[in-house]
Amino acid sequence: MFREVIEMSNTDIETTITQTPEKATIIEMLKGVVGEERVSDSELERVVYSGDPAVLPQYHYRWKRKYLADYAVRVESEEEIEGILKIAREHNIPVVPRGGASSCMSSSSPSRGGISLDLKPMNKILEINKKGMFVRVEPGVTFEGLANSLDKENLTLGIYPSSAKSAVIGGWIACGGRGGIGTPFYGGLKDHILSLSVIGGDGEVKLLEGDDIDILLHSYGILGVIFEIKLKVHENVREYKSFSYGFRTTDELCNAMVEITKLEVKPIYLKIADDELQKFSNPLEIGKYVLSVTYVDTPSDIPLEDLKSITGKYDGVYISDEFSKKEWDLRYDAEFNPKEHTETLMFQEFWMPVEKVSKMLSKYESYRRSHRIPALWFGMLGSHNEMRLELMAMIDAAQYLKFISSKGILHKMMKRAIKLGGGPYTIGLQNSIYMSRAYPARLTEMQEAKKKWDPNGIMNPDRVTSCLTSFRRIDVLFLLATAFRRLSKYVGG
Amino acid sequence: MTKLDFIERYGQENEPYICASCGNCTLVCPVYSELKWESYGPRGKLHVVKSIIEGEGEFGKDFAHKIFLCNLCEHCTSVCTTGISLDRFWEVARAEVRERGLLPAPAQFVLKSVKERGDIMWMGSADRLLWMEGIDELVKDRILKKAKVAYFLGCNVSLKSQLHDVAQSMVKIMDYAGIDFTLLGEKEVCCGAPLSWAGNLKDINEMAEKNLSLIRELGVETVVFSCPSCIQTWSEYSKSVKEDKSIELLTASQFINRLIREKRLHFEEQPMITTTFHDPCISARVLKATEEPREIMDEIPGVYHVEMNPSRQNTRCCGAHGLLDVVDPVLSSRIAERRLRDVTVTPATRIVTECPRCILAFDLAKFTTGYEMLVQDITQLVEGALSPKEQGGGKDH
Ligand SMILES: Cc1cc2nc3c(=O)[nH]c(=O)nc-3n(C[C@H](O)[C@H](O)[C@H](O)COP(=O)(O)OP(=O)(O)OC[C@H]3O[C@@H](n4cnc5c(N)ncnc54)[C@H](O)[C@@H]3O)c2cc1C
Ligand code: SF4
Ligand code: SF4
Repeated sequence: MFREVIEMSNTDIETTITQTPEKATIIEMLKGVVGEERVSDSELERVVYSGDPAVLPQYHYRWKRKYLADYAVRVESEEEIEGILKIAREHNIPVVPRGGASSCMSSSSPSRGGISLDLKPMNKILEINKKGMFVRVEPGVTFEGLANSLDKENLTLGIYPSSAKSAVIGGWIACGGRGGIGTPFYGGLKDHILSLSVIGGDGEVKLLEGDDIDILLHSYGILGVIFEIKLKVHENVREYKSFSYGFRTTDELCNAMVEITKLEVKPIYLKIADDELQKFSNPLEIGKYVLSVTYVDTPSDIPLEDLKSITGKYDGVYISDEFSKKEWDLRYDAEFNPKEHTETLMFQEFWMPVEKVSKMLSKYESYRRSHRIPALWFGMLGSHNEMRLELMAMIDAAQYLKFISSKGILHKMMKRAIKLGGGPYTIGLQNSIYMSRAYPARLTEMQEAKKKWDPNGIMNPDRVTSCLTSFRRIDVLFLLATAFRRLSKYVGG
Repeated sequence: MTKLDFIERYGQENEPYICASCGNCTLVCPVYSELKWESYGPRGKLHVVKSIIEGEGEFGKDFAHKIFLCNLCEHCTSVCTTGISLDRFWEVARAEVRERGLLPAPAQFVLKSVKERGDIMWMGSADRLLWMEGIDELVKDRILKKAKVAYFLGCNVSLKSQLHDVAQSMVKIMDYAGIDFTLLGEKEVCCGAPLSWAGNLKDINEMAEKNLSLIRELGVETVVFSCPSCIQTWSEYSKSVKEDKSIELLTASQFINRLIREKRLHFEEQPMITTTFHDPCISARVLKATEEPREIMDEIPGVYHVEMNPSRQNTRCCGAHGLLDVVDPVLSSRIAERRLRDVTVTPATRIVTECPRCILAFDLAKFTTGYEMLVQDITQLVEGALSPKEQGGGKDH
């Protein structure tokens, strides 16, 4: 039933991709560009180059028409990217740019086969300019590689996603780079990119500067491939100080958070979570909810008295230095730690105005009770006033109804988020259905750009500007599933 | 659904599903870093195992070989977001490869050699005495003598002439410090570690026990090792070590550091030696013994120690662990060369470590790269710096 309801509904330009020529000739052509060593059509590689952390059981994968890439190609230069895109255009083959493949919404996994274009080998730091306070890099540079090189010059980019151990810079740009560690203090990627060099799906090479850069942020590889980036850097900071407070209610937690975000001094990192999530990393001994905040460790950068008075006002209790430090040390992994204990950690990411987070949490808490879902949540301040909020459920995918109904709840939460002025954080393949409701102006802008940049529709089809199913269908499906689940409670299911 | 017998028998069938696919493990994997295809990295391999379990892929020769292209270096385990013991998973996957009759030839050889000869190199018990040449006086009454401390050399140090100086240095240090110690001599057999690397998990305990029963008979309380993998293997696979905590297993540097704190070792000024310490994967990530070697170097006057990047728990593998040196010597050597490049950006002229495989790997990589540096075990550095006996210690000049 499930598969019937979500049958394909795409009418976009991507449907021009219909036939693929003889595989043998394509692979020879690809090898002609990058050499024998860096092309593969082996079963093993095709499986491996087609996944990302999207928490999807296998049946879910069938949404995508061809969920395995036909070829994996590792590129090392701009010329090689150009060569591969040319073949793709001439033979209508989809191209899926791939960085660290850590984006969680099937962003870099194929939906129509094609070429998985691995950009990790393009990992050179081309220039560190201390005088101009900028760095020029290739898109496959890792955050660690960049930090190590900049550190030698006593510089830092200052911002990174908590997936910094696996993501690469090009991937973060294509995902928007709005919220990460350091972004509340230094600003998001948008404030750091000085220029971007891109090869469009049409083969044209462009250098983008100023406002023109904006179109490539959140572009998820659907317009072209970013091959060089110039980024602003900062003087390095080495010492941080963290403070963690326990709260009894989500309202108190959120009120304190909103006031802290309004202080003049901005934190490097601010996280909120419930005790369920904490259980798996740094268990809470005080309160039911935690707020952890980290500042640059200089007296002028820590609003200690303000923190005391704000948290005190909302009955927040300082936990301990040790706990607080551990929160900072766990900044990379905390949100994924619960996965250790469940086959499926289902989640949805939201980008919310901080003032509205409380409304989201109180609703999710009420679903937790009414639908008895094993819920947990986590939030990370992204900008001065917006948060990347992650609502999760630990569900065994084998429990089909429970699984679908929990997804249904997350869908309802998304509708609520949109009403409240928020929307999905990562778009990728899965959240493209929300584009028209959450970001209508952006959708129009991206659709126009898509026609211009990628007239053949080869670049990462089925996301952002179009999708494999429609909002309405998904809406009906989840409505039914949650109703069934409620019903099953009464009939002992 | 394909049944993966061993993986299930050892309770590992859920691990591919626990994996969040976050990719943390890919970028740190030395094999991925060299071969650059994700299917050689840990996340990739887990994806493939998952697709095999789902009945969508095959556990063929190609994949079996890939399972062996791994250093069992534990780097993936140390960064895994979801806390999977990947090292355990890779060992069990090797057992699955063996069960299916797909073992690479060098791994088959190792299993046969350990079983029939008691070592990894098809030598024999008599060869375990060769390292003693030239220090007969120091060792002649030590073999199988009752004592509180035993020195367990391991196959590489006992049998590879290149490493005999490591064993001799350790014996000299113990003698200098006035330690009453014992050696198993020709009765020492392989610790059992290579069995786990070659997919035979069930015989490790028996192999370990051959050594441990002797050690217990001699009344030993502390065993000192030149190879960290021996400690790991006994700690993880020996039933008696797990049950009876009365025997202490120490790395060379843990033991030497203790001797220094007990003021049993004294050093003379060295002529400005700049060293860097390479943390062996198992010492750093499993035994967490990262500080002792540094503390030792700090104690030797004239030795200046600089850090390599990465180091301690984030150390890079030397490329020789986990049988990779025999399964794919070229790849193993490339990994070692990469690690030596980390040394070349420091002012160090000497790379010190405490694992025989690292020493062998770096010596080879030095040759292939032409890098000029001295590779030493920490025992060799310490022994070379001991002050003459009459000045307060026991060194016979
Ligand atoms: C544990 C964990 C924590 C996370 N924390 C954060 C966080 O704090 N903040 C945050 O923003 N995200 C976070 N994420 C999501 C994700 O890791 C990031 O968005 C990350 O930056 C994606 O980078 P990547 O290299 O993995 O890209 P991929 O996943 O490989 O690709 C992402 C998208 O970008 C496209 N793309 C990749 N490279 C290029 C290129 N060169 N040119 C054009 N398009 C390209 C791909 O086609 C795809 O659509 C987290 C994920 C995990 C698993
Ligand atoms: S143990 Fe080391 S070599 Fe093996 S997969 Fe993990 S990181 Fe790679
Ligand atoms: S680090 Fe752990 S969870 Fe992440 S991809 Fe590797 S095995 Fe999976």
